[in-house]
Amino acid sequence: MDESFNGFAAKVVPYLNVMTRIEGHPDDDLMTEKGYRGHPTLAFLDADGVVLGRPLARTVKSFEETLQAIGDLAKLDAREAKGEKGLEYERFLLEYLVMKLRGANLTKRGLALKGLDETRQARVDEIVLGVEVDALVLQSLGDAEALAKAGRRMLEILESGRCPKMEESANAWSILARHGEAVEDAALIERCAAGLRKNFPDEERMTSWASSLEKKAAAIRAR
Amino acid sequence: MRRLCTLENMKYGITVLTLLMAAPLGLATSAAQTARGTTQEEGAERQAELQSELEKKLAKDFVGKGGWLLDYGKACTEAAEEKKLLFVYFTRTFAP
Repeated sequence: MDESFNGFAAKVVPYLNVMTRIEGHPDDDLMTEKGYRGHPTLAFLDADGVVLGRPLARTVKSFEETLQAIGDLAKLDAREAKGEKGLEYERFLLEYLVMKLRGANLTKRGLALKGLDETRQARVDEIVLGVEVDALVLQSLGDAEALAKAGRRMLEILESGRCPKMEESANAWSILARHGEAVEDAALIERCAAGLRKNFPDEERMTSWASSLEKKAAAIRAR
Repeated sequence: MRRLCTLENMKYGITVLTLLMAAPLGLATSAAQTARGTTQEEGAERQAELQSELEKKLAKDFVGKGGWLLDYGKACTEAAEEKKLLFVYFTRTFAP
């Protein structure tokens, strides 16, 4: 957490919940009570403990965006309650930003949006492509062939530049890096290392992973 | 007399049988108590380890610098008073 976090933290009440398994430790099961399973998880709750949303990424920028989207979603509810129509794109985008829409449901809602202008359509395409990236992450956990297939598709998406969200996914970099190692593509491995350094500058294990990739790329180049 | 003897024998037999059964049971109970004692000790040790892991986690730089509250009730009260949302970081002692 850098200095910019403090600016964001002033707008919320930051609460750290550490699951300990210590007998009698208060709120040890709060996360599971809220319906989450994996650690770490970040979430915005109201003062009554109702979950309002989750950030898409572990960056202060994303925290700020989610906080803004939660407020905008409440305003959108009010506009719709007054009878305003044609807000499907706005709702889609905001529900995506607070992670209320995910996976197949996100794709379905995105593809159902019609008559959008070029900018909005591009945004929807990017989001839908992000769902594909998530699916590729799962696909890559299969055998070597599945990894190669996922790696090739990931590379296509990366090179198309149409899915910036992919760059914030450690799993995506992992698949690309493993694909790069399998096909001995030093440039791709270096690109992964640079991607990790750019997107996870404060995470030691990521920078350490980047260093290890740089060494592997250098070894391939030295052959 | 024979019947009495038989009864006596039966009583004797039951006593012997009870003792024979009780002995291993007693040993088993004693063994179980020992095992339970060890488990309790191990449990206490594990709890102490968990406490130590928690303290290490809470001593990390980001906790102090980020102004994180550690009491959920207090965080909810503060959120209500200041009309803010809670930003919750769910983690474990060994998770990032």
